[in-house]
Amino acid sequence: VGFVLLGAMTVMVFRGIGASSGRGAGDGLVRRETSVQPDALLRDLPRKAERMLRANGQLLEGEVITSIGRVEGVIRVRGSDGAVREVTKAQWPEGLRITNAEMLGINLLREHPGTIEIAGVILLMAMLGAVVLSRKQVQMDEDAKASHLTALAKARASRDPVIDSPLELVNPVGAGVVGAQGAVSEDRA
Amino acid sequence: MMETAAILAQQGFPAAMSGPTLAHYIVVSIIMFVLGLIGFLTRRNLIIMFLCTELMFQAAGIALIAFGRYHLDLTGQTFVIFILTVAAAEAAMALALVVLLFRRKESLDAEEWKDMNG
Repeated sequence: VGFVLLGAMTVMVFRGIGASSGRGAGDGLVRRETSVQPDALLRDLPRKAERMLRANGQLLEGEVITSIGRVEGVIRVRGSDGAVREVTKAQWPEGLRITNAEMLGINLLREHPGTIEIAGVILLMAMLGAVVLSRKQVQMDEDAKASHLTALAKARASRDPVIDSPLELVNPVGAGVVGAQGAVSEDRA
Repeated sequence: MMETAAILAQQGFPAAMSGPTLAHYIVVSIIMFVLGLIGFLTRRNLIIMFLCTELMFQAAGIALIAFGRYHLDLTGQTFVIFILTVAAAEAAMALALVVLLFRRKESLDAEEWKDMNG
């Protein structure tokens, strides 16, 4: 089942890479290096630019944004009558800039789509592995159990000598520590 | 480099390492790493040892982010995101192993497992 899942995920990985690069080419977006270019990256958030310009009253009803940052710091807006005007950097609303988290998200999805898929597979495998490991019922080693009980009883007796019979407190079987091993082996027999 | 920083500051982009400098982050990272290392070497509880390795992990992550920010590059942060993913997977496996070992020996002491000769 794991391998089938892995195969399906791998197919998804390659499809994911193909889809993202194809979409990038279709939009005419140039694949950029990972350096920080706030204005150029703002081009990837046209909805945010539109929302903020509308809230600021710089984008009226019927007007659409045609380009962002193609010329440095200029947003081109086409009105309903077809006239094009420019909103320059100085006129931009206060909060119209790309935040670090937005840059990181864009960078992640654009540069490393396959890695994200692989990370998903790794997490899935880790979860399955953890479930398998912790579901396994361990038969506790009987000798280890007996010696552990003896050690516990000794420790308790030395710490708290008032307790006359510490064995009942620590031994769920109810047998004495000295006879613990014998009792356990009887149980097994 | 300075010109780039000036242009970015003019555009309202936070300047590279304004306020705390690269050295501050590196010092925090080193302190975290050393604390993790000391904890790993001195404590014998499996869970505490595991948490100390996580502390060292995060120290490395802080150093990566600080250097990435210093060079105005996003690769460091991207890398740390994936490191966090791997750390999550590792935490799941390690805790499952701890549960398994505890069921076997009813103890979390690393000394109990010296017969594994790891």
